[in-house]
Amino acid sequence: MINPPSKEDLIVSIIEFLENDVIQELKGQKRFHAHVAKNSLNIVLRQLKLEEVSSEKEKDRLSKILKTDKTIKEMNKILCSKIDNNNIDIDNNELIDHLFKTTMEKLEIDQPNYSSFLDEKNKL
Amino acid sequence: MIILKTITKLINMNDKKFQIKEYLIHKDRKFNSISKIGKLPGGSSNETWVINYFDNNKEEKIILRRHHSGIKDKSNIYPPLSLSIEASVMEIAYNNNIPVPKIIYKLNNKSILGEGFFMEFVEGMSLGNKIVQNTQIHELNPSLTSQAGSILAKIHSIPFSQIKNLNTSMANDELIKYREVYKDFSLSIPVFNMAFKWLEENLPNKDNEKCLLHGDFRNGNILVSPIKGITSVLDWELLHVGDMHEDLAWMCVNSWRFGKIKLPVGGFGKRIDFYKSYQKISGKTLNKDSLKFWEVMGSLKWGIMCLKMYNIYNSGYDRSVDRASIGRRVSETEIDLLRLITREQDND
Repeated sequence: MINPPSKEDLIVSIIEFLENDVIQELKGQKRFHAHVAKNSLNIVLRQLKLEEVSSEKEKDRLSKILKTDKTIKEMNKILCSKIDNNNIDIDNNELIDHLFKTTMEKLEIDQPNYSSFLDEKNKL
Repeated sequence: MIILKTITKLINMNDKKFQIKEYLIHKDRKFNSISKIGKLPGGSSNETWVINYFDNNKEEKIILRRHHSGIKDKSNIYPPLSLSIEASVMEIAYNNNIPVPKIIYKLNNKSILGEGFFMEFVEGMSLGNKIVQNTQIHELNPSLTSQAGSILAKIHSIPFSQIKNLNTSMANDELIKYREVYKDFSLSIPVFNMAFKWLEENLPNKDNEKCLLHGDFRNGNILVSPIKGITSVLDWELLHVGDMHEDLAWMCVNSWRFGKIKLPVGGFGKRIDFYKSYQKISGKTLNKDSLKFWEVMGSLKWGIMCLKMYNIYNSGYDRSVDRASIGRRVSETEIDLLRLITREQDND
């Protein structure tokens, strides 16, 4: 078993270091890059917390739509080729519902401040 | 003394700043007063330099745009447009009272600085998020939005048959081009496949009028002054001949609204003011379905450009943090695509 701190704690310690000590010391492009670095670490942090559950949900929905049980990567590939070859209608409600849910789960990790994400969340 | 001068010249031969100064002094002795030369960050295939100098004791600036000295940028989807065409079109635009920086010197092929041009420096805000957050700028409305529409109408009325070597790309050409780029990534992003399918089924009429397009007319490529409104249209490197609706829809893509989702025109204006002034100045009638097609195309294009930029990081060409993380902005375009395709368009 790995000793503490947890991987989350380690990431938080770097975020705090960037926030409290680094960013204020920098100017111009380096300052911008330090901000981006902090944002990237926050993405990783959210991914560690949320990905397992959201992937499971995505996998369930894909299995139902495709009536098969494969890895999430394989099923997304199948879904893409079904769309390309007109084997699934892009007006299909189950498909649209799945794509909305999957995209919202991705954004919860990637960009939870994005305007359309917030607007959709308010509608739920 | 002469020998020393020659040696200094040899040492400085490869120094871009030295070359810029030499070039300008040769053009006009006032440039002996140059106090600062700096390169602006960013710029994908072209470099932008700012040169400060004094004219009659007043500090002035001049801008240089030139091709990158390094490897050609891989994020470009169009074949790179020659800077001499860009300069010629900007000159035509300037003569047609379109707000663009005045071209001062065009570099010829033999110049040590390579291909490019010097242009006047224009004051104004260029950062999209700064523009949408500025309350003074919002007070300019609706005239700012109407101004954007009339500028675009004027750009689209530039006769282009005389301009050589322009790219032409209509709806179907764009669709094919971006589909190829997406295929090359071998990624499975079902929303993108759905968007391609939707675009295929909703292609605009082939007879839509061909115009000279700016190609990247969005909040971020216009300079805005809180008093005068739009003072300049920048970054003409994606100009091409295409469907007029492309430029109008690109300005409304949610990615350039910087959070102001209810103000579709660049996060500062309403569609009706934009379209009305465009139609009034151009005498053309806009087609709602074509506008929607191009807005979907625009969102998809930006998503694919994000993938391209991430790929530049992945290939090892540019290992910067922002090139890496931009791949995670693809999901922003996915939600926008889903909303556009499955819901009625916002009519604000």
